[in-house]
Amino acid sequence: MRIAELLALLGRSWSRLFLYPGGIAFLVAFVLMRGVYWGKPADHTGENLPPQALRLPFSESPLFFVSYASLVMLPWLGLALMPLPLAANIGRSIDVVMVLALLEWPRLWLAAYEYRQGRIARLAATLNSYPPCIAALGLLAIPSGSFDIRLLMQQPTPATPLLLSGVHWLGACGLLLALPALLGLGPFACPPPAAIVFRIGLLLRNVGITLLVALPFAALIPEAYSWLLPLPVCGIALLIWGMQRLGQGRAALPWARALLWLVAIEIVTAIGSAKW
Amino acid sequence: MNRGLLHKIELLLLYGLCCVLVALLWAVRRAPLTPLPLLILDAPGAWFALVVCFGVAFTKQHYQFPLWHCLAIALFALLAALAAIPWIVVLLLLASTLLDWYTSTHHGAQQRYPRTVIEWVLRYPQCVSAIPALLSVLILAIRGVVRYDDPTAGAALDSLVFGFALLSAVLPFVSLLNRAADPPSPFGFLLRMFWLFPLMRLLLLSPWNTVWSISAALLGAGLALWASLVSLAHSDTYASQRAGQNLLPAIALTALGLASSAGVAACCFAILAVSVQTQRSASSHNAAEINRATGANTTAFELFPLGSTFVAAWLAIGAAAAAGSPMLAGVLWLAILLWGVALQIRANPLIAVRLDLRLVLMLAFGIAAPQIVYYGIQPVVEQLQGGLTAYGNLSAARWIGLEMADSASRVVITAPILAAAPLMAVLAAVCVLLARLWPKLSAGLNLDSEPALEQTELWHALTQEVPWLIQERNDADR
Repeated sequence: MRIAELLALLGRSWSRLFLYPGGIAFLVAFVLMRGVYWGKPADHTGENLPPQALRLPFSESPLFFVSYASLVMLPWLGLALMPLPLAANIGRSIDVVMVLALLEWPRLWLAAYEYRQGRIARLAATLNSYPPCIAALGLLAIPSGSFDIRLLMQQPTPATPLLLSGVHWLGACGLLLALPALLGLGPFACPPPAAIVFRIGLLLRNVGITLLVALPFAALIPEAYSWLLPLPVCGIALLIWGMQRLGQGRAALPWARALLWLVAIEIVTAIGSAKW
Repeated sequence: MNRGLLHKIELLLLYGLCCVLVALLWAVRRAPLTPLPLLILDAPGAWFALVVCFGVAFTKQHYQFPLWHCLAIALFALLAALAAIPWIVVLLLLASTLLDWYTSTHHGAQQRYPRTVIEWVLRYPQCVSAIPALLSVLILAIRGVVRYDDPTAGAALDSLVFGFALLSAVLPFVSLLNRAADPPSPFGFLLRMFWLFPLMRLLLLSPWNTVWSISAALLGAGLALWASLVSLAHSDTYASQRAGQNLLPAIALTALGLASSAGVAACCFAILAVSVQTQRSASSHNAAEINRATGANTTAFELFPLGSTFVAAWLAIGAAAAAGSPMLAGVLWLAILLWGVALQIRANPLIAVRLDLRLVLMLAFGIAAPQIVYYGIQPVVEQLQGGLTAYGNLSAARWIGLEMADSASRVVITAPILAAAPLMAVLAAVCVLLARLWPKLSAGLNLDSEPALEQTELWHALTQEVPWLIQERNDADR
């Protein structure tokens, strides 16, 4: 293993960072940020400040800037490293544990920031989303035996026992059901943050999570029909819209309890599938 | 002679010792050396000694300790790591721990003596760990095992010996029951990790029984989840951070319990991650001072995805998955995410963020993990190979990242950690450019905001929204 491989990887990754999926996701986040996606922010601090009142992040300290920039650059990096269909091959894959850590960074910061300001909705959604999300990804990892995204999202082969195929699809559907809590939608709705840097970071994260959830379904499409690949993403976007409409204004607690039942089912399934 | 100068000389000696240990690790990377009958110079011992010496030196430079105490603690730990005779290992570890306890009660941050035995046990559990560890080596001695490299030592290893060794590694976690806000001893968490060493040495004797592995791994994972929940539920910032500091040792215990190449590597990396965590345990009582000096500015970065703490947890998750247990991996994953939440809500990252050495080292160790694993940890794994199972192998692509494979050579986790660092630098440059072109990017953050409600009220509101979250106990009894 030589340094040449590192240079080759860096050379090949520019299109992942700036074209597909990184660049496109950033554009999507930018468009959605203009207010199409969410309503008005909960707090209007800083929205109409004169330019001289704005604090430039790098005027404070290098680390202060890094803490700002990390809110955007970590989910961006997570998206760029995801082995999505049609993305440039950089010769190395990445696992879902690392991707989720990169994508979760802005939401973790924002949830904590809002909590310290006395708003708990996002932190509650965050805590409600982790058990079903991890249980679902754990189920997906049982048939493939791996957290590597390429292997994790692969469709079970015909040779796979029926029970293990069922485990895979239960995991994929579990991820779908955890979407409202994961994205902060419907009953788990949280008002958008006022800070633009938080908004972009959070939207990049949401795009990443949506793509992650869509991957098991995208694996169903044969290579010859790769033009159909946007279909699962569009389907999930439709589902998100439906969940938003269905759950808007409702109490989150019953949904959170239902998610806990889902986790219990997933754990029982995982234990049951162990002998296979 | 000037006292300050003597402290500097001591610090220099400690870092000098670290350099000698790096050289020793390099010298024994192929095969162990036995220059004297009492010593066994091998990679596992050299790694533990190096990490403890580095942790002691790193902690010392931030706080004033009595003269020569730190050097003595480091020397005792070093000799324990390199001793060939089991009971000498335990006695030296005990000496190191007792000296740490003496330093903390007579000269350090401790303000009062424990009044009851239970209080003493809760506050210095690592001293109590010596009892089962001594019982474990006593049984080995009765069965005729004089040295760890004795060819017949494997026959003496049974459930009783393993059980006592495991108990000595688990006992330090009883401090999680301690709800008093006393700070632990200065090097408490570092020496606590060291009680894993007698357990790791048992891998030299013979492979472990499956039941032993499962019990150690399950205990570790349970403790990790408990530590993260306690850390999340505590209203006191310092107590929350202290509970969270048990997480990495618990993760290391889980990884070691898996007894695979991947598990041992994850355990070794976890103790390295603890060595750059230690200085926070040597803080004083004053909560505001703790936040200013140690907590608020860097806690938010504790679980930075490319930092050493996260990489250690990620390796342990991978080791559990490679051992064929995605659910065990899921428990560790959940524990680390909940701890991330606990850290973030206690920190105030947007105020007083400043660069410090701990943060730099944390990032450096995380990003350079492939190199550290390749040069430092791989020899440890190779020398313990005789006692390891095939359920989890680690492969370090020195210039790209790390990956773990299961017994069928199927990749379980993989990440281009080292390669991600330059990519992140490119994205940081893009962010600078965007912020220059579009100043509104930094709008909307109310930087000097104060919490609107009391923590307890907020927590109570949160428990109404999250059904599995435990209602915080009344802290009035503290």
